Amino acid sequence: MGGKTKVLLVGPTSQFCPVATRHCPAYATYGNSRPVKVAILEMPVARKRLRELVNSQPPATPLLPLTHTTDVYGLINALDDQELVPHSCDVFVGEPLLYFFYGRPSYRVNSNQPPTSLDHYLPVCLLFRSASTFPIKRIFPFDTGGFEKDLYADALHKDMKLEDFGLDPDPSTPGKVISLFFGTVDAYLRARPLSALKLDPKELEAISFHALISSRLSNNVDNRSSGVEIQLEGRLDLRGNIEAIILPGPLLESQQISAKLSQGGIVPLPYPQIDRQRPSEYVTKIFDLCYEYYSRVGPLNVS
Amino acid sequence: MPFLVGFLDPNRGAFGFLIPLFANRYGANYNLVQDIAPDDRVKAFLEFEGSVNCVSQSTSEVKIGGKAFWAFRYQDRISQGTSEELTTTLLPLLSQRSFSNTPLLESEIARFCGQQDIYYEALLATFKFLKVFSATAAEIWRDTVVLLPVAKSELATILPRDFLAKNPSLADARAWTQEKDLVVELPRRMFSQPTFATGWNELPKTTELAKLFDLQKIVITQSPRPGESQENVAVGMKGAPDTWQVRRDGYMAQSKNKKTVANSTSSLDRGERLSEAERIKNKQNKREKWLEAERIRTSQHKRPASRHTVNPSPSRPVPVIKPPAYILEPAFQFRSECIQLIQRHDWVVRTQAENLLALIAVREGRIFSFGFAYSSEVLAWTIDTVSHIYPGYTRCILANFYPSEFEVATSKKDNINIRHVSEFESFFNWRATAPS
Repeated sequence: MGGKTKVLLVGPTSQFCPVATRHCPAYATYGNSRPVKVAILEMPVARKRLRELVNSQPPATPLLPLTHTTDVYGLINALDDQELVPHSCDVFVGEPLLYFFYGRPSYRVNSNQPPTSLDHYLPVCLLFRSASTFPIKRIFPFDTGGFEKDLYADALHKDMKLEDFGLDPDPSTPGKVISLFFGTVDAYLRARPLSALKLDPKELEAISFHALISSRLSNNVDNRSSGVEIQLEGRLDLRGNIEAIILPGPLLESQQISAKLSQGGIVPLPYPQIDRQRPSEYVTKIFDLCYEYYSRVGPLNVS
Repeated sequence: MPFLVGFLDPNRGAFGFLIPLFANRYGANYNLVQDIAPDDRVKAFLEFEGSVNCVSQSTSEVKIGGKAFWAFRYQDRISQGTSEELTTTLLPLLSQRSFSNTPLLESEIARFCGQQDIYYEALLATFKFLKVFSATAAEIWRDTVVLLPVAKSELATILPRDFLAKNPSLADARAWTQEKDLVVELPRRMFSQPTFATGWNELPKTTELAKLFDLQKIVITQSPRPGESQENVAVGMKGAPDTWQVRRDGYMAQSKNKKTVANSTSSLDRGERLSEAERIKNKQNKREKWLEAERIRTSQHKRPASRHTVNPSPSRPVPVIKPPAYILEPAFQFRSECIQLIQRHDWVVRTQAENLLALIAVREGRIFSFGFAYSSEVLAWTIDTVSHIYPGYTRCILANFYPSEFEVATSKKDNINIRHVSEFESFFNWRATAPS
C-alpha cells in the first residue's frame, strides 16, 4: 500500500452490497494524505462466533437420521418418483433446496403459510438411514422458516442476521450443537436444553440461541426452534435411503403405498388420522412414534 | 360464523374421514379448520393452508362451542354432520364389516362410533397387518398408539395432583412390552420429591386392552437416569428407580429394586448364572449392608427427643402420643427390617385390614404427606426418604387398611370420618390428644 492509496470505496453501504452489515469495516486511505482508517466497506460475511464455538465441541453420539416432513401428496409423489425434488422457498430465494431436520420429526414453517397446513395437520415424516451421506448445503441450529417469520424475535437481537447462525455444513455439526446446548441426544430429541450453560459473554449468538430454546416463547415456536435444520441441494434419490415412514394409518392401507413400502424395506409407523382431527392431551404424538423407533431399532437402541 | 366451503380429502378418493374446511366470508384468503376439544366441541378455528378438493353440497355453519362437524367418504358418497349423525350413517356399514379389509381405518371408525367389539377385532387385525411389514412396527403401534394414550388418560385421573402438576400432559411418557408385561414409563421429573401415591387405583381400560394383546401385567416405572439404560430400570439394579405394579387385585404397589422381568438378570448375576441359594444369600448380604448403613446413619443423625412429640400450637400443652393406641399385630406381614425401622424411629403402627399400608407423615403437628402402598419395603423406603429430605418431621403413622374400607373401619371404631387429606390432620390431632 505504501501509505498512499486512492480511495477504494466510499459511499452508503447499500451501494456495494445489499446484504452487507455494518459490523465489518475495511480500511482505506484517502487522496495523497497519510493513510486514515475509514469504515467504508461492510463485508457480506456473517459473524462466525457461533460456528467457531460449535466447531470446538465434541459431537454427541449416537448419530441420528435426517427427517423430512411432507404431506400425503408429497409422500405419494416421492414414492412415485423415487426421489425428493427441491423447491424454492421464501427464505433462500432462487435456491431450490430440500429441508431436513436432524433426528426430530418437525415440520418447517413457511413465512407465507398460515399456522396449519396439511403437512402439519396430517404429516408424513420420512426417517432416513443414518449411514446415508448427503451433500449438505447449509446447517442452522433452528428452523430458518421460523427465523424469517420473526418467531424468534423475542429471543434474538434485532441486528442478528440469519447468516450469523449458519454452521459448518459438515455431518458432525448437528452432534456438536447437541453437545453444546443439550448435552445428550435424548435431551435434544425431547427439546430439553441444558439449563445451566456457561457461555462467554461475547458469544452473543450462542447466548441468544440458548435463550430461545430455553424459553418456549410461544406455541408458534414449539420445539422447531431447537431442531437442527439441514439443507441439501439437488434431487435426492430415495431408493435405499428411507428407513421408516410415520404416516396417517389409513394411508398405509392403500395397496400402492403398502406395496412400495414393502419393496423398499421401509418400516411403516402409522398413527390414527382421526386423532389429529380431534386433538386432546393424550393422543399419540408423532414424536412418540419416532422416539420409540429410535429406541427399539434405531440409534437409541443399546441392546 | 364460519360456514362449510368443502372438504380436503387426504386419502385421494379412498374411503376415510375428510377434513371439513370452513371460511369466515366468501373470497377469504384462508380456509379454516376446526380445533376440536376432547368433548367433541369446537374449541377454535385455525387458519389452514389447503384448498378444497372435494365439494360439499351444503354450507353448514359451525360455531365455537358447538358440536364439531365431521365428514366421511364411502364409495362415491360423502356423509357429514355431527358425530352422532355420522355414527348413525357409519354403524350399518361397520356392522356389515364393510371396512374389514382396511383394519386401520376400521379401528378408527369403530372407535369413533364407540363399537368396542369391532374396535378390538380391528386392533388385532391391524396388529397382524403391521407384522407383515415389521414385527417392531406392529409392537410400536400397539404400545404407542393403542395402549399408551389409554394408560395416560387413566393415569391422569389417578395420579396424585403433585405428580401431575409437574407434567400435566404426561409428556415423555412411554410404553413398551417386556415378555408379558406392559411397561409404562413416566418421566423421572414427576417423582422428584417424596410424594406418595395416594389412591392409586387400577387401570381398567388399559388392562383390558393389554389383555387383548395377551399382556398379563402392567408395570409403572420411572424413566432412567441419564446414562442409565432401560434394562437397568426394568430389572431394578442398584440405584435404579422404583417400579409400581398393578396387582391382581387392581391396585398399584411400588417395589424398590424389584425384578420385573422374568428372564432379566441383576447386576450380580449378569454374565454368570447363580444358583437360587446364592442369589438369596447375595440379597441378604445387600440387605444387611443396607441396614448397617441405616443404623450408622440414624445414630449419627439422631433427632432430639423433643421432636418425637407434637406441638400443634404454642398455646396448647404438648400432647404425648401413646404408641399403644396403635398396635403392631404379630401377624402383620412386615419384614423384620421394616419393623426395625418402625421401632427405631418410634413410629406408631396400627393395622385394621389386610394388604394395603398407609403412611401419614407429620411435621410440627401437621400432616404434610400421606400415601398408600402394598409393600412394606416401599413404606420402609418411603419413610426413609422422608427422614432424609424432611429431617424436621416428627412422627409417622403407619396404618394398614383398604381405602374403600377405611372410612367404614374408622367410622365404626373411632367415630371419625375421613374423606380428604385435610381430615387426616384432625384425625391425627384427635389421636395425639386422646388419652391412652
